Amino acid sequence: MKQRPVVLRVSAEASDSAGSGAGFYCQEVCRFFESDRGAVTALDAVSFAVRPSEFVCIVGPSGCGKSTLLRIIAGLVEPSSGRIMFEGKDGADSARGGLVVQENGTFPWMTVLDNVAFGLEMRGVARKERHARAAEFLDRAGLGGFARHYPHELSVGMRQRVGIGRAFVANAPLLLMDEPFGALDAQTRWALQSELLRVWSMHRKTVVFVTHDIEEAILLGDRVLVMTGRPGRIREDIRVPLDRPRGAARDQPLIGEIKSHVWNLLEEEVRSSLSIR
Amino acid sequence: MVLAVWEAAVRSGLYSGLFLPAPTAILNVLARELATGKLATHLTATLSRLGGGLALGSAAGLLLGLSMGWSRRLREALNPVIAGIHPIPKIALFPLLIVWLGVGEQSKVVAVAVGAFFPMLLNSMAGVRNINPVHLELARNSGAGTGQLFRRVLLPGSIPMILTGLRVSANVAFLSTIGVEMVAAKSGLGSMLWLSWQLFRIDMLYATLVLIAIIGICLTALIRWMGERGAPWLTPSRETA
Repeated sequence: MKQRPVVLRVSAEASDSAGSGAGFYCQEVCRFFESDRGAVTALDAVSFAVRPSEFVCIVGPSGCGKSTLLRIIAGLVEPSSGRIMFEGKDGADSARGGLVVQENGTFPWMTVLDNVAFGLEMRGVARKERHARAAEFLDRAGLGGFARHYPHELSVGMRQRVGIGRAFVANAPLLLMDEPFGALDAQTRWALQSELLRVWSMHRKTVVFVTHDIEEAILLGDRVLVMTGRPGRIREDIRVPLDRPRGAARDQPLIGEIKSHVWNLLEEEVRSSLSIR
Repeated sequence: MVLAVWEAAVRSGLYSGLFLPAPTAILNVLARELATGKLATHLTATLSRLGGGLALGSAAGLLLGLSMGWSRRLREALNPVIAGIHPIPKIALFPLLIVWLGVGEQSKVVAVAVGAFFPMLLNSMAGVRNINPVHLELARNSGAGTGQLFRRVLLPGSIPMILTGLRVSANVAFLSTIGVEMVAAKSGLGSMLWLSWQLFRIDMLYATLVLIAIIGICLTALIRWMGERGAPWLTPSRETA
């Protein structure tokens, strides 16, 4: 790994639960794609820091490279230049098992139990132990009766919980979520958002959450990073100074304000990328 | 019903039964051959060539197919070779195999294996290439090593195509077995078939064909059963009461 460990300043609130979440610094990350019709810049000098146990949402117009950015953080894609610097000596492994994707996030050929236990299996945890831990998650998530089922026998929302379960049970200090609720109906989405926040507040993992839903980003994140259209850059880094759970009447004015601000930013971006006047 | 009419037509003298002997006559031949023990010898010979060749050829095809599906370099290196050999009707290679391996069992089993090899190779390669890239990402993200990746993702993920490959391989293998036996064997259903023709034993010819058909049907059923056992996620869920 070429990422060198760098110690970041840890705030007082985060240090209470130090060890469970991983912080990192994304430094000047660029990514180019070569195609037959020339080079495309997907990400252009993206820099931001994420503190341990922070919940950071990334929004941006489609095609702005937010998924690519997530995969670079995960170590699945090499940046063309720049680097991700993790905190601590095992930092580069922070995201191991912590990836959650929008669709096809379960292995169709494994039972629900084996899917949830997959991260532990890859780490060499014995069968009995990993099944016990996966079963514990399934019970808590209300999926206890489906352990021996295959994913295709479940609803989309249940499958998504299985995919999230794999990341939770793998116990990665850094969860990387790529529009995990994008394919769900409104009620299921709401239920899973609350579930995610509940688990996050218990274990305080660091979360980087990519979404195209501005409201979702504001309801969930400590911060919302707004990205520009291609080439992707960080346009603005917005702090959301609200206690959770959010969405009550007293929160609405601020939520509305942030939302319309982000909308305005994105509208410009979408307009310029589509060349609409 | 068809059999009954057929039987009645021959019995009543409506039709001589020369080219189309009565079903009972065919069964009689089968029973007689079974009693002498010759049939068992032929059956064993055919099944062992078929089984051995199919196992050898499809296992080799599977291994190379999965590897070629995974490694672009290997694929680019071997594709021209395969494109060159694959279109040759494999039975045409049989004389060459006899030159190399002699007239014994080896050349026959290998001829069957060569037939079974290619369908399995091409299908399992396509199976790996059709795996959803997201599944590979998730496996890599979870820290899967090469062995784990093959065992837990590439192999199970390509099972639908592997089963298709196995069906075609079994078909070609059976065809090659009978073909090889007709040309160059003193035992097996293929040789029985050819002998019946030379002796003009039409009833024996039919009896052999019936056996060949039964083996073919059993082979298909066996592969379907293997598919259901080996890949339960592909079968529609059973209704729970």
